[in-house]
Amino acid sequence: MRRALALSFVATIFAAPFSVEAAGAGSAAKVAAADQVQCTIRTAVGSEKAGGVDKRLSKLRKQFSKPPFSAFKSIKLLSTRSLTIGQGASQRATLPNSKVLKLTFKERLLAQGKQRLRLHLSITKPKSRKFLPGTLYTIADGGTLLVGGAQHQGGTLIFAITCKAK
Amino acid sequence: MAEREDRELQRYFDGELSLRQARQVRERLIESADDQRRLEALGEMRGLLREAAEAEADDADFSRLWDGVRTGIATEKGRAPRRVGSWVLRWGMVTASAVAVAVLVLVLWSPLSSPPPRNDCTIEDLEVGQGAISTIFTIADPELADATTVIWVDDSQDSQESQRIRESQGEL
Repeated sequence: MRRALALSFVATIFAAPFSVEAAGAGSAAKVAAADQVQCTIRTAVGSEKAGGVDKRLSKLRKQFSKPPFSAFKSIKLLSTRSLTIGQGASQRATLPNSKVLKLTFKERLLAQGKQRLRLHLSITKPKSRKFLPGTLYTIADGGTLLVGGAQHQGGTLIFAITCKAK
Repeated sequence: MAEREDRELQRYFDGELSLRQARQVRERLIESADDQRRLEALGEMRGLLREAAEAEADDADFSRLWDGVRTGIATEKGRAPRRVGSWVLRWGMVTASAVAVAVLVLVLWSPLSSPPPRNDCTIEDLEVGQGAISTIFTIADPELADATTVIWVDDSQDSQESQRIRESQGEL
């Protein structure tokens, strides 16, 4: 009995990665039927105040070490928003500078065997067309687009928009 | 193609094929004289190898081996009995295996083992607000052969202009 239990435990551990892999493949098939993307909007502020790059932005450390971001003595994360967007739908997020970020998931593309996502992004004040009223872009699945330049409380805002097919 | 058939024939010979695959090979063997010859050749080769192995075994001198075994048994008898129970050994082995497997699973699942997502992006259309200046550039990452796209929008001129207009209107 003990031996059987031990063997089944080891077998479960061995089988685990393969069953997860199989579950992943299954969910990918479902996504094809109802396309959705999971987007993360990170808003950071770059300033002349010392402090370095926020640890929560470590994935962007390389990019922030190069111009124009390298001019900032500190880059601090202000907010993180997560949006789930269905194909053809839009989601909004209010940013710390009271501008509204609107993201529309247009479609999912397959180029050279790799998934790409087509999205439309706008960052404006409500009922205004100033700053960034429209950007249509395609990006690698899971890729990050950076938008910067808006002034906010003596610093410069940086938006990192990362979207991944669900 | 021929290589695949050779492999299949070898697996048939070794009894490794499924019932369906074995039936397919048997059907092929009926029709193909070449395959029949190859199968016979495999049989002959195995026979030769077995004969050679047997001859080698016959020639081997096991007297020293048995001497060694006897000496080993005598030494073990002289030693104090082991205190470690067989269940400890058994469970120790099971635990060690489980830990090894868990480590392997962790390594396989670790985000480090999968490459980071690429950021390559194409801006198809860009519209900026009146008075704002936009710049699109990329930050290259030669290590990952990747590039991150950045849209930089400078609307400070517009803000200053708006401020001036507001001030002038206030003056008026």
